[in-house]
Amino acid sequence: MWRIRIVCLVLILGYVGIVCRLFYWQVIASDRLRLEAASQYYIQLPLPAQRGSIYASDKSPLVINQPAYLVFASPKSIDNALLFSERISGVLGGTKESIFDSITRPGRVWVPLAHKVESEKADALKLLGLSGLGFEKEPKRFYPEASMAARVVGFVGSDDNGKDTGYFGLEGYYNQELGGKDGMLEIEKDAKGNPIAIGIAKRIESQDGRSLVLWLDRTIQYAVEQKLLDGITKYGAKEGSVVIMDPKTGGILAMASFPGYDQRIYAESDRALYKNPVVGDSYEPGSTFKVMVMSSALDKNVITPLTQVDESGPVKVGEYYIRTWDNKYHGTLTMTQVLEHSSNVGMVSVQKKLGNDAFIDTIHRFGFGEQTNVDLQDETSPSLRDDRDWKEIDLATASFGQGIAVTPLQMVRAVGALANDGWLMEPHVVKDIRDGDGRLISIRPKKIRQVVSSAAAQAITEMMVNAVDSGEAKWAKPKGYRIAGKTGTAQIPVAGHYDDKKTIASFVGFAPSDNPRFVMLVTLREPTSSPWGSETAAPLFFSIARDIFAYYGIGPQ
Amino acid sequence: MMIRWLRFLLATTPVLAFFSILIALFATNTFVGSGRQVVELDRAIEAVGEENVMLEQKVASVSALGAIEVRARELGFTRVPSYVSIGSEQVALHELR
Repeated sequence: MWRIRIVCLVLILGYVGIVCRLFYWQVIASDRLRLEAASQYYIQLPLPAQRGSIYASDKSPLVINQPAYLVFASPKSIDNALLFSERISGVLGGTKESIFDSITRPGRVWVPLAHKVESEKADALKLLGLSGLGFEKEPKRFYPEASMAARVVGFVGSDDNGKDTGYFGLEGYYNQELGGKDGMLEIEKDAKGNPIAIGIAKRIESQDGRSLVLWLDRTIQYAVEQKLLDGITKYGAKEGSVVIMDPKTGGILAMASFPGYDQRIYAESDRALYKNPVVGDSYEPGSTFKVMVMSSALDKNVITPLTQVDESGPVKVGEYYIRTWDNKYHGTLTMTQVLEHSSNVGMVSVQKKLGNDAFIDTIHRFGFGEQTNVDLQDETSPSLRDDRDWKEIDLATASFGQGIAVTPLQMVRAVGALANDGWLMEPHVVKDIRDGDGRLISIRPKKIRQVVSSAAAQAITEMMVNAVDSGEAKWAKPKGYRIAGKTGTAQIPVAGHYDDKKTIASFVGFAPSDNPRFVMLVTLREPTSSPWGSETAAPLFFSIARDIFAYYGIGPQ
Repeated sequence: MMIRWLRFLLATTPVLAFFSILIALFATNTFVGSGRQVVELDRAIEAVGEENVMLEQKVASVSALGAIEVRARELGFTRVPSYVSIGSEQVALHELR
């Protein structure tokens, strides 16, 4: 009897064991087993998305993709590690010892040897016919126009996971749109690893990145970069920048700054150069700021172009004396002459006529102290002092552009409003976004607000035309063109005071003044040939303007 | 009549089943073998795609403004220091016949 019981017990324990094992397989280990089975029956192929391209306004490419490869080694399939290392290093460069060391390290089944290897080198490697050498597509960026507009475009690097990611400029701002979404193909395979055509297949299509079509005109950009480099050398400036905008749409036609970097070899450049100073750096605008204050006073009807002001000597503000830039005084001046002579004394008078609240409101309405919302990653905005913290001397100096910081883009946008019947526009670099199916999404120009009336804009335009025709920079102006503009020479604040010898020379203006096609700002930091904007930035402005007139086919009148 | 039909069906069913299995086997084997062709076609598509990308790259390179300027200099063109604009009234278009 006890034997029968033992047999029964063994059988019961056997059944319990089977049930437990089945429970383990079907419940606890099911996911792992399912994956293991799937890996035996299915191939999973990644379908990488192509990063979108970037085109200039004439649809010529500024950034496209070129075929490149990730070269890797499978140590288990390598016959002779020493020979393998020697032959690979002969093509890829580097030392054979480092390759040998990486492929012979114990436990390694997959070793990346080089990223983004161009087709020519990859073909040379394929010809070696080495076992254990593999290739995976890893496209890289190609810049047909070399380093043109590098700070506008930005660059593509790797994120923490080694995935391509855009940094700075457009690549950074539009990283999601440009990057697209990777897809995947899962298909049943036969014993040799070939896909079974009638087998089960699951395909998730990749979504290629969208392409960008810019407002940026590559011909203007090319001319601007060449002229700016020449100008920096000629005037012995430390840095320089030029930004050109279509005042009617806010489209950025050109944007350049030097010293810069080459996005093809960005890793070799100083990281401080990655930032675009046109949107990321601030400066004191100096006399170029006067046109905003003057236009606002015209708009509020507290002055007319013929209103007179006394400029017989320095004006006292609190305990300070405000002088003219050359310490020369012209007696009675009209407002038009205040701009023509760039009179600081005259501007203090305008600010007083305008009143403190209206003056501070003017600064806000022209968009200073707020980001322009340009579609570039690295935009900043210098903060303004609180409205209650403006002292009498702050208001006086701000009327001629000292003691207030702006970005070059804020400045060009504000002056662009004067060229656009008083309407402030949102600046944009991208004009259209094109998706993988070729559908075009246009980004419509965005009006922010009317900062001055159309009449005030026309009046200030005439005053600016006079400032160019009769001002300090008249010698450099192209003959026969009506250009509205204003020079600026701002001292640079250093450790709580202004350095007399260091200036930022600038010129801002638009042309043709009757139907403006462009508004442009030129800034030169610490020019050594002359500290004045009229002798450095202004001639550079006119030199670029000449090229644009020729390019647009605008003849002299 | 009904019985004859049933007998006919009973007689033909195994034959039909046999041929169906035969066709299925033939088709399966044919399509299984074509998996390799699918791979080859995919590779060909990929190669053509890559060639297109490379051609696009070449076209972009030679039509870049920097490249055009280099070619222009090689051909003897130089940068003009200044230029003269001619107003429309100065062009004798109306005299052309």
